[in-house]
Amino acid sequence: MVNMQQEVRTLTINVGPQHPSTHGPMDVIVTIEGETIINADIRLGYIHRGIEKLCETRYYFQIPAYLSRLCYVSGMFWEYGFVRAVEEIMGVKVPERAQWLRVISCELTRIASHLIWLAAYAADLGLLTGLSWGLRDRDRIIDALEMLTGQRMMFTYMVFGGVRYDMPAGFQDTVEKSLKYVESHLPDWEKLTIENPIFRARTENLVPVSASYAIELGWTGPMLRACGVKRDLRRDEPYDVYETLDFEIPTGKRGDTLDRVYVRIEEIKQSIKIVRQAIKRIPSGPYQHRALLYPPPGIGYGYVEDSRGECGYFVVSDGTPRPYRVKIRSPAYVHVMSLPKLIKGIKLADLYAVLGSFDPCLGEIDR
Amino acid sequence: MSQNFLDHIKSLLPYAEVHLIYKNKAYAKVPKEYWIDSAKKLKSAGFTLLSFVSGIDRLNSIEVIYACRKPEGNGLVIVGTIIDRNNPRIPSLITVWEGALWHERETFDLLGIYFEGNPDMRRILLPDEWVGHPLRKDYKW
Repeated sequence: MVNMQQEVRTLTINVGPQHPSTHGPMDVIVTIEGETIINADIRLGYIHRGIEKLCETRYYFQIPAYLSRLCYVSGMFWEYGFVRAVEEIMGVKVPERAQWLRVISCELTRIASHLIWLAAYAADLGLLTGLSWGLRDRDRIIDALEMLTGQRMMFTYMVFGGVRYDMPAGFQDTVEKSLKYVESHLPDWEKLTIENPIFRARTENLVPVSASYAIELGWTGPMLRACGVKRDLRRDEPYDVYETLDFEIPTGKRGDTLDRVYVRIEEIKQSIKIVRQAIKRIPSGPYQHRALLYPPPGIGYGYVEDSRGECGYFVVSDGTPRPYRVKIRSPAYVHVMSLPKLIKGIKLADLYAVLGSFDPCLGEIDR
Repeated sequence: MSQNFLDHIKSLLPYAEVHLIYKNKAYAKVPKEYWIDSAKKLKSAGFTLLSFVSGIDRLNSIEVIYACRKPEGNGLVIVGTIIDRNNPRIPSLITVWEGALWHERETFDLLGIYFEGNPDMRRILLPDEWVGHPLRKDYKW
């Protein structure tokens, strides 16, 4: 037996703020010993724009335009959550056609958001084919959204009491074409990711999280569902017309990185199913209420199932045309919070696989 | 349904003033001494998912709030308590929910509320050398 006194050398390196796998300006400071991460810390705030403070200084109807900048790949949800919180204080009943249009636009956004995540995540793992595929597929969805809202990213589509524009003529056909296009490539996506032995080797059994620990940490959305919890605000606390829609909630088994990929690909399929139903069943009628200025004094909490989890707005109104306080509850912020603890003990090369699977969107994390 | 929910929360937190914000969303105002106790009671009653911790500057006082949900089924409770604005201190919820860590850091950063017992009370969104807490109403910018 050889007894060797080894000098333990640790090294501290910054992964970020400019690093492709952080999906935005975030700094993960890791201390490594050899190749193993022994300590980690996260530095945020590189794109903190003070949106919560900004909201206090703007009129209600101006605010949704700022909020779609919170997450530039799923802006629709972020407008929607705020609009729902304010409508709750106002006590407004939204016209039925507007509810369906909201469902269609949100589910299209969810598909686009998951696709760009797949693209970025594939690139994190060195699959540059995935990067171009994701952008190609997402572009078709964005075309459909552009037809509906006039914008490709910062939609500002939600207004208090409805949506800004009605469906244009020929929208159904465009959506169907886009969905068909995305759907035709989903088998390829599965072959490229969850059925690919190299991809599996890099993600399977990496940082598994139990269901109870995920709840303790406050995880929501696909991250929680990957741990095997059947939790979806669209089903559990339904809003708008989600109650009447037929869709499944995909869940993972082990809560590892591979399950997070699996759940998101399945969610794309479910969103396609929802949009198809909604396009068929949308009733005619008005698509917005007129003359809604600002809410009476009160508090409201608006939530929607974002592509990352529970997007929530806590709004305090004092009866003036500007909100007194707006608290933004960001799901990705909660997920990234647990990262330093979870990555202790894994190899540095696996950090990128884990970090990407959390789907961090720095716009909403930094706010 | 909503009335049942309200009664359920009232029986859980007998010391709180509870009212409904909307269906199955309740707001409970508790005295400061019962801050941790309310969190423990709600967690053991099934509200195990912490949504957020935050605060509101009420000009002559500060209101600290947290919101928790049921991971299965329906229901959200927002609990608030009033603390002194000049010396805003409150026990940390980290003993109840591990996930409170960064929510409290953020509240400290933006509103200057000090959570006693939180092991990581550094600024998070603003630079470390920043002066003041921007979400206070008297913050000059």
